[in-house]
Amino acid sequence: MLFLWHAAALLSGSSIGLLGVYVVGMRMPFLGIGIAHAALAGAVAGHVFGFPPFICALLLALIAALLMSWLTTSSAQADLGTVTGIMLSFTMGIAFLAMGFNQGDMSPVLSMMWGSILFVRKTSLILMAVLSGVLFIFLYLCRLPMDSLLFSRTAARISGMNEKKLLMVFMLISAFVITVNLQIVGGLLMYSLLTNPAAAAYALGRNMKSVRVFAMLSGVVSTIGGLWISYLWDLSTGACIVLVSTALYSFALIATWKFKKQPLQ
Amino acid sequence: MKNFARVESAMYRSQGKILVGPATFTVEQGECIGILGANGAGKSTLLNFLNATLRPTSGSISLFEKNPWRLSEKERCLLRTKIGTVMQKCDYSSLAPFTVRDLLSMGRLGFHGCAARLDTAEKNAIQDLLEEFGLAALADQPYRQLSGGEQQKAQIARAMVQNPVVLLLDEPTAGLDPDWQEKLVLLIEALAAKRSITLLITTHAVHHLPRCCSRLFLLKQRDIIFDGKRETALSDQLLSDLYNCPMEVLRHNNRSYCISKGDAL
Repeated sequence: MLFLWHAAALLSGSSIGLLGVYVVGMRMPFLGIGIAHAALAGAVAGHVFGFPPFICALLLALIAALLMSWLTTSSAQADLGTVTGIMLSFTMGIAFLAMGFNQGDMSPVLSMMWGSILFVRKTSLILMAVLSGVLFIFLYLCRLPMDSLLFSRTAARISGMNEKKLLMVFMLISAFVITVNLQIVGGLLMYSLLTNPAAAAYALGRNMKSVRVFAMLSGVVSTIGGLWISYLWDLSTGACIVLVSTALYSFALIATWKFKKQPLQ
Repeated sequence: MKNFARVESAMYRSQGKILVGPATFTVEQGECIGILGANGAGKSTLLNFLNATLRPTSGSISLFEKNPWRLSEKERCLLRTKIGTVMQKCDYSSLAPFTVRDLLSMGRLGFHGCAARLDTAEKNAIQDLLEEFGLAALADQPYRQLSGGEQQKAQIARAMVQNPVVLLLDEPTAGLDPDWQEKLVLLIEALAAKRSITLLITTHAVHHLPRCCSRLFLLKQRDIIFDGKRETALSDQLLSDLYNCPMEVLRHNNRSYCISKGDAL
């Protein structure tokens, strides 16, 4: 089991850490929370109404990603922050409504909200490995266009890049990766794991290559560190992971201040 | 001579408010056109018509004899690669430590698919442009740490790396100190003289109009009130009417200056 937990923590930390570089860099951290909460609502509704929770979570996350992508790139050009804010409240409404119908044991539902790496099974680990692989390959092959999108979507568009298509593919892959990692940190704390390692990496990195490496390392240290702390003291895994990632970001800020590098603004 | 743009009664309306138009004009390839107008006159919106990023809500527009909005997304992206655009304010992610060389590389991405890699010829062309623009020493510096003038110069270099047929500059000297304003005007004049490029430039300052701009558009309240020769446009009466304020045109060192004479009309 120890191998299973460590493998899950490694995959989760590296994939969510790397994903966070783009989510934070494009100033859309709400994307993560929007998709995570959609997945959470799907999982909770699926569990309560007797459907496969993972399939329901994935379905709702994909719908949320497609909707956000379409709304922000269509002629309506809606503000991504506003769209995800509305999405967040809507999906939370669905999640809590479904919880109201739950007559039995609440622990599976709560584990989806707070996460628990200790319940990871071999099949979900394989799925995590496959989807992390897809994310890594996509971000390796498309790193230049994704960097351009990260720098400025408008600049990418006027240079002739098909930024709509790229953003949509990125959002769909994000939906898959976030959903499969839901059981590690849970829907409510996913936002922190997306934001903190990436923010620490941006504070420390001198170029995009180092930012990507730092974010993945910081994500892995957060998940494995959090796993050990929760295991040793019998605490909530998701909460420990998030607290370790926050501590890492604080260290990065102190290091930035010490070496007088421009901090995260 | 071939047309770059043919605009017929093109208008853009948003939330019941007309932002520009109805505008009718043609731009021939190789022409240099200056666009003058007060804040909110519709100068930037007009440029967005001309780089196929904004679809007119009524009227029609053709670029290089094609209606960009009847093309597929892929064809429209390819069309945009022929048009270099420098925005008034580039809304970029200040978190990411992209270098000036990275920025110029992004200008080539419209010519590639998602898995873009620049070839040696493109890398050499970028190096040549860095040297031509006097940016070679700053090539590996983070873009976010450059001064406003250097950033604007880098943005013009990014547009030029596309090897565009048309260059659209939206108030390239706005917010810069007089030294940088002068440097950029000289740079634009040199670019126009060296390459047979179609140039459209918007500005508030008459003396920032490159000498090659023999034709001027005067935009007032989202409408083109004058389209004609520079000598005719730069008159006290027309500019007073344009800015709704008594103006006087002075000539010094083969350059025109426009100053306010006092109270608003």
